[in-house]
Amino acid sequence: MSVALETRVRSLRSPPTVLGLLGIIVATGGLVWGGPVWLGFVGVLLGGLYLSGTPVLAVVFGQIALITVDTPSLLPLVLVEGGLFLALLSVTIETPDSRVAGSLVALVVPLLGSLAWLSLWRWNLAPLRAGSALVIGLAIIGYLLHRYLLIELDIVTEDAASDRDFL
Amino acid sequence: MRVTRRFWLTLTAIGSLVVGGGLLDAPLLVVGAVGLAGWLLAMQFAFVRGVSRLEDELTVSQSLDRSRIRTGAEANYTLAASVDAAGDHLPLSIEARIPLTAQMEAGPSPDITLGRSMRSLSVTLPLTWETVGNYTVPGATVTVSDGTGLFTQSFTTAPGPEIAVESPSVGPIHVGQSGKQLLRGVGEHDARGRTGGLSAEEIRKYVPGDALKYVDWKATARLDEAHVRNYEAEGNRSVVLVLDHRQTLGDGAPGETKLEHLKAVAAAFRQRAETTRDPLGYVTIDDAGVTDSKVPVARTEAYRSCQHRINDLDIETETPATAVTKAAHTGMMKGTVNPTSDTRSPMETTLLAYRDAAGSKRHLPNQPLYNGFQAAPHEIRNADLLVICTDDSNPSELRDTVGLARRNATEVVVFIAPSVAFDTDLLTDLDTAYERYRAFDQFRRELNEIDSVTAYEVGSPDKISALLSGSPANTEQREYA
Repeated sequence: MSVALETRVRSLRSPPTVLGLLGIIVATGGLVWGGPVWLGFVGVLLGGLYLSGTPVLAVVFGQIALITVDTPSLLPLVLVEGGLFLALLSVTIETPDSRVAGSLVALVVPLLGSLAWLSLWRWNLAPLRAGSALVIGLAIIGYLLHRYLLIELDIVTEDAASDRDFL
Repeated sequence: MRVTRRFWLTLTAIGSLVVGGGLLDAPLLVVGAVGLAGWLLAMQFAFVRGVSRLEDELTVSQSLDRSRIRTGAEANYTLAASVDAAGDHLPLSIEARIPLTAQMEAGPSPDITLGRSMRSLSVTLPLTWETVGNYTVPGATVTVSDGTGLFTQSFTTAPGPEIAVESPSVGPIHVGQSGKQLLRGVGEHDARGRTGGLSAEEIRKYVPGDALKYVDWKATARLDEAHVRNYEAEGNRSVVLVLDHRQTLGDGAPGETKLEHLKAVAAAFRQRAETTRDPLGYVTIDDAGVTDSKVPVARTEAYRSCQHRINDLDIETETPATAVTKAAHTGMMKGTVNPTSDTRSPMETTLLAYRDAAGSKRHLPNQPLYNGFQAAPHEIRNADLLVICTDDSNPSELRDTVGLARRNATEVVVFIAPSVAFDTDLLTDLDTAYERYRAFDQFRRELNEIDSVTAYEVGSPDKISALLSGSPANTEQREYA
């Protein structure tokens, strides 16, 4: 839909944008602190992506930039992850029900991140296997939410067999 | 819930991080992927909650300023939406689904977009309805999107208003006798049903069109002016419309043909029957014979079906000879000769009258109206009120048909479109036209003199006035009165 394609260029003066840019600056600081100086240019790229309305891509590139640092110490790591988290959180504040959405993101993202951290470093699971399992689990929850909404709007009934078009 | 391209891009990024993390053995990428997936899930949860709340808080109303309209006319359509929310709501757009038969003028489109802080909005636009029928404006489609452009959800509201689109009027119609306009409403009739009794309702002044049998002579003598006693039916009575749509009914200017005028009269009777819940049936007849018939019933579907039939009634362009052939064949089989009224000798007329009275069925050649009515079901022929809408192109056939109808039905009302009033070159020779009109009126009077038969002329008021202006002393209206 056009809603999805339209560019969501951000206003520099709005509080969510300020928060998001602050997160990008913090993440860039963490990258520069733990890695080479040229990662500062990555910060410019992340800021550009964020301002152009694609915060998800900014997070993805920030995460990729993080692995260029060989073995990041805890503080730069926390700075980068925290900064990227702020960038994501700023997006939720813009939604109409910002309090609920913000609370959910503040709760779910650190929780899942911690779970991934535990499974990878404590339980020594293979990254691909652990990542796939977590993402598939979240996808199932997402599908159930989708079904719930359709039933709530009387678009389908609880009898899934009669509503195969929406499966 | 529909996901957008932005959602799929986000999902692709998450998948890429997971795969990249696995291939490069970089757990940090997987952590990032899981964090993003969690963010996506949280956004979805917030959206689902927002839509559920919005469905309760949103009020969408559709309205039309008219419930009945004629084709080609405009009705104003209004789409209004309001959100009863304390704070902001998810942005939404509402699109009305206008029936295909309604044409929109260039201008505002039937949709509304409510931003997150907007409470209410409405749009009004004119719709022109092109096709006859009953229509319901379908429910509007509400599309809700989240603030980040990841999800959309559409749902439909309850159906909108109903509208009845009727065929266009032919303009003012003259229905009357001898040039005098019928002052009672077309379709109003005296209650003389077979079922139920009658109760006197009131005494009122006589108006042209009232049957003489209802004149209250005592009141007339007392008040020195003709008065009639109104009766109210204590039971419903069946009404059957006999609609002639043969070739000759196509005479007249386009859109103002005999048939168009008679259709308006028939529509008035239909409407009246529906109002009083009288059982209604109809027979339509063209040059080939009966084209459609329905026995009288008092159901909404029957009234609607009758209206559709009246609207769809048209002049057939071809003249199938099936009915004529059949009629002739039947006559030969019986070994009888059926001369038309014009060629009958007095002896034949007398004998045929006896035969008709005995109830034997006969088929007359080239008389589809008569043959069609004769072949109609018993419930149609025995209606309490029979309304015949035809023209005067075949007077003898009409006379026979009315005679036959009178034998079965309680009351017969005949609406005749005089051919002379539909001639396109009427004004070229007014004297001749007036003479033709006099001949027609003489014929109409003959029919009117039959017991329980009332005959009216139907035409354009202007044409009837023009005809009457052709009388020698130009005082015909007084003469005829």
